[in-house]
Amino acid sequence: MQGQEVALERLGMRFGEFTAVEPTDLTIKAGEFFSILGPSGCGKTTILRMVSGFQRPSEGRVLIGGQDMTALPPNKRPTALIFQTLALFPLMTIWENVAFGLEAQGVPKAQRRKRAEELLDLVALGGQEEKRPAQLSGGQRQRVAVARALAVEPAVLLLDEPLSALDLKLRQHMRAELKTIQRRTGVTFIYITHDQGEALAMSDRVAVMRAGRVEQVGPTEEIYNRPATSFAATFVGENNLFRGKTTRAEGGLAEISTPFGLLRGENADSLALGEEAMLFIRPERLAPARPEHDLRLKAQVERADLEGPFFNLFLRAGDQRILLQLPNEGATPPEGEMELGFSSRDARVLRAGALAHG
Amino acid sequence: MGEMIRFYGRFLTGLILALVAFWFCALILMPQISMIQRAFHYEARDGAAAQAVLEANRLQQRVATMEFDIRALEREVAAGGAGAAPAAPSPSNPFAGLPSPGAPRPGFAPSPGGAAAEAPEARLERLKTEREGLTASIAGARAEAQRLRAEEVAAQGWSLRNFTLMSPLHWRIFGLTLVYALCVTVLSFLVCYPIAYAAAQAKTPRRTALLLLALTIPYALNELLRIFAWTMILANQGLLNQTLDALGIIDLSQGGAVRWLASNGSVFLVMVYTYMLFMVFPIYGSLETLDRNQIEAAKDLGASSWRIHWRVALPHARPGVAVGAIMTFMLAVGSLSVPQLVGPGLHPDWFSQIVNRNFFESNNWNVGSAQALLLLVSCTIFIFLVMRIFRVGIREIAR
Amino acid sequence: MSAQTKAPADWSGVILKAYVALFLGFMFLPILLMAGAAFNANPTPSALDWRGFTTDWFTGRTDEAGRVLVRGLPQETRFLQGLKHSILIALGVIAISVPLGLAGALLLTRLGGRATGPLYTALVSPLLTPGIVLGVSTMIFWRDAFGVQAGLFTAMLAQSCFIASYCMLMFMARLQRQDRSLEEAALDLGASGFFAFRRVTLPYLAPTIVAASAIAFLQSNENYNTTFFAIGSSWTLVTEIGARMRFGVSPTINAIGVIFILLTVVFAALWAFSLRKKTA
Repeated sequence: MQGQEVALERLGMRFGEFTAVEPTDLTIKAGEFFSILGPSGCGKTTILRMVSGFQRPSEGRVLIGGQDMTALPPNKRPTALIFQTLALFPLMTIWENVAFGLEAQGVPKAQRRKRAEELLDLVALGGQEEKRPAQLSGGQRQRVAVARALAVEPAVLLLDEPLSALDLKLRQHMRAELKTIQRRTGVTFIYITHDQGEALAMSDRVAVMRAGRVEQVGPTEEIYNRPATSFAATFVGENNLFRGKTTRAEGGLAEISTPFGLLRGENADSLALGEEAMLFIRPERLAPARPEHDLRLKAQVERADLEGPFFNLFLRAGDQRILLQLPNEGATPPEGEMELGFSSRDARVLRAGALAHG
Repeated sequence: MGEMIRFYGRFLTGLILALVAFWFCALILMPQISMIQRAFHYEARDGAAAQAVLEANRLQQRVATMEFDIRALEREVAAGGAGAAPAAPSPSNPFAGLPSPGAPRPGFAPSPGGAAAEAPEARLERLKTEREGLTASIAGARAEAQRLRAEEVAAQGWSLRNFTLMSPLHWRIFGLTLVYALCVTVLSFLVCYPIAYAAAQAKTPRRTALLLLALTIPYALNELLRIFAWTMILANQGLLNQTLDALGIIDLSQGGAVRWLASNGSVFLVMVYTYMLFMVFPIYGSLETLDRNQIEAAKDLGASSWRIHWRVALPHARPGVAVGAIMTFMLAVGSLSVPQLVGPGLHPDWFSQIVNRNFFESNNWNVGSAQALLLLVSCTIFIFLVMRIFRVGIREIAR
Repeated sequence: MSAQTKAPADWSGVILKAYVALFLGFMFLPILLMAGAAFNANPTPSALDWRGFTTDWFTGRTDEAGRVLVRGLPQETRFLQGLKHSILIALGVIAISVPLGLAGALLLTRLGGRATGPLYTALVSPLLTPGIVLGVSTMIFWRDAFGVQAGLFTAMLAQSCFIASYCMLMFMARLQRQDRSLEEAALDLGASGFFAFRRVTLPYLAPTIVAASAIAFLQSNENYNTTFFAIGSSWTLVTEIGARMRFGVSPTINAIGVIFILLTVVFAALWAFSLRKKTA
């Protein structure tokens, strides 16, 4: 098994008037764990179906390992797909499920059985060969689906939100497991999800999609710390938003005027003076004002929710809602009015645009 | 289509298409086309031309016997004729007494009584003139036959004659059959709706299952056997009359048997019985999805049972009623078994029996096809009407 | 208040119950009468004019010399021959209408798009066509187009025409409940369309294939109107019963009815048993 590079060249999909995916260029490196992150209906599943061959793109090409796959049906592509529903064959035993791809290739039964056992061992399901899918737990079924997909030795493994049916604990466990399997096999993983936590936890790189368009592609830290658009800033993780017009732009920083005075942040979009802008600051970068903070504002604490290691402090300043994450150091959370501060290095000023939550 | 090939591959897709094409063409479309072809194709049989030819032949034969008489008379005259008995013309002229309508007919009537008095010479003269007259009529009859024949040949082929020449009686039967089928449909609905409602709204699933099972069991029996069972009840010495006798309403021993069989009433009754499931199950199917709470709520608001049905249950059952009505009407209008077996001697017949006779008794397939086509068209119209009235689509109908 | 609203509701409940009871009587009385007459020595089928219990109508009765005293089922060779024809036709109908129905259902559920509406209408139209028309048109088509005289073959085709529609509806119901991703998964794992169909879809459809075959068999044996017109001078058990009913009845018909009932009960019991076994 060896992962291969997947390249999308101006790949687009239109259904009549509706554009599901705008022409997109994207390269996923061989052996990479790549996630496509976006809300439902953003076109991520369409991309997946075009890569696996279930959907013919209305324009552009799909290349896998440098070879044009656009015209090939799914059964001729070196890809394997793990469905959201898992799509395990209910009437076959576990080992028959795993060996299905080999059976289709005409591999003799004894060999199939042996290979299935190896793969089931890989996903820690040894001894379950003769059971049927309905007799397994959700997490076990999950692993059978992975083993079945790996059995055909794909160069690219496509995963369509496979963890969404599992409960939180199991989901977290499976994240680690998938990551391990990916490392061990070296297969290129393309992982579709609307769960930003999942994407950040497992991936090497992430593409953030909105309305058929890729808004940002990059390593996970970059996606989180330096979002490229207002949508990416609000879809991935929590963010505080201040709106205003640019009043100054120099030295890589932009200053915007807000009801709370002038606020500054990294000028990521090279905004010019007078442009409508949005300033984002992560809740964990906000804190009760400290000397090193070059920006300050006053707000009223409305509520404090304990999340375990930290408190979520919900504050209000006029119409502005502010979220602040305060490390739980054993003290009771503050009440009433407080002064917040942050460093302009941690804030990001972007061109005003669409947000993830309305 | 492209997606199907991607899914099933060329071979399987081709096979699927071929099977469906065979089904549609060889089993559905082509037979209907053949039938329609025959329905609009007029076939001349026992027409006026054939009659005219027959008439000409008849005249020809009369001329031939006349020739015979003339020759005999001539011999007689030549021999002096004294004392010789005249050749009897009457046995040699067997057609004289037969009426021959439609053909010109000279006033020739041999009278054996007068023949004896007539002089042989005079008779010979008379016969000769008559022969001339007849020969002329033969030519006329042949010409007429040829004209009629040509007309019929021209009429053969595509025409509406199979419909326009259908007797008024048959049209009346056709109309009546439609009305009867409608009656059966309405009756069937009235009988079946409460049952479907009872099954759908039964207190426990077990009861529903039992009721449905009870409905289905008689249907394990063949349609004809179900009809047969009823003829045993309705027969003159059957259960119904015997019961009435025991109740003292009629007196069987005095020949007071009521003739239940061979009446439209019994045909309706047996049809309702025979095709009941086609009404019960669709209505049950749509009533089953009716939320019981809706009925409870309506009851709580003080609605009468009548109102509940009229305003809540029936509107909900709409698609089921439509399906039931369509199926029952279709089965009733085309039913041969029930009128044939419950009502032998029933007058007038049902239309299906007329069709049957055209195919298997008078061997007149084209007219039979025309009549079958009428049935098909009336069913189609009925389906469209029901779909319109009940506002349901074809997808809801065939389930 | 509540008493007032409840009283009429209870009344209508009582009326409904009484009606259901009456209705069931209406359903079963004829059947019971018919079964009764099968064991009555009276040669005119009747359950009332009782002339002693007999099973002669089932077994027939002959004297030592082999002369027939009572014509029972063994002597009714046309019935037996008709049964043979019926089974032959039914097997043919299964062989034709199950594949056709399956093909139609696959096409309709997988094709998508605008063509499915008219195609669906066309393929279910035989269900909405009077049987007489199906029989007549099939007879005419095969004679006019190929010179095939009406007989068992045309009867089989005429029946298949509408029984295939029944099968199709059954398959469609099953296919619509199928998880499409199962087939997709098979293809994705490198299976050919045919292999995926054989290994995934067909096993999924297996119970429906059995059910559709059973329905086809029953429908075929049950059918009178279509068969009567399409079978020409041949006959099936049912058309023979029809002919016999028109020209002089005999309790052998009742005997056949009893056998039908018994077979049904046995099959229903087996069916219920197999279901119980499956759930257990």
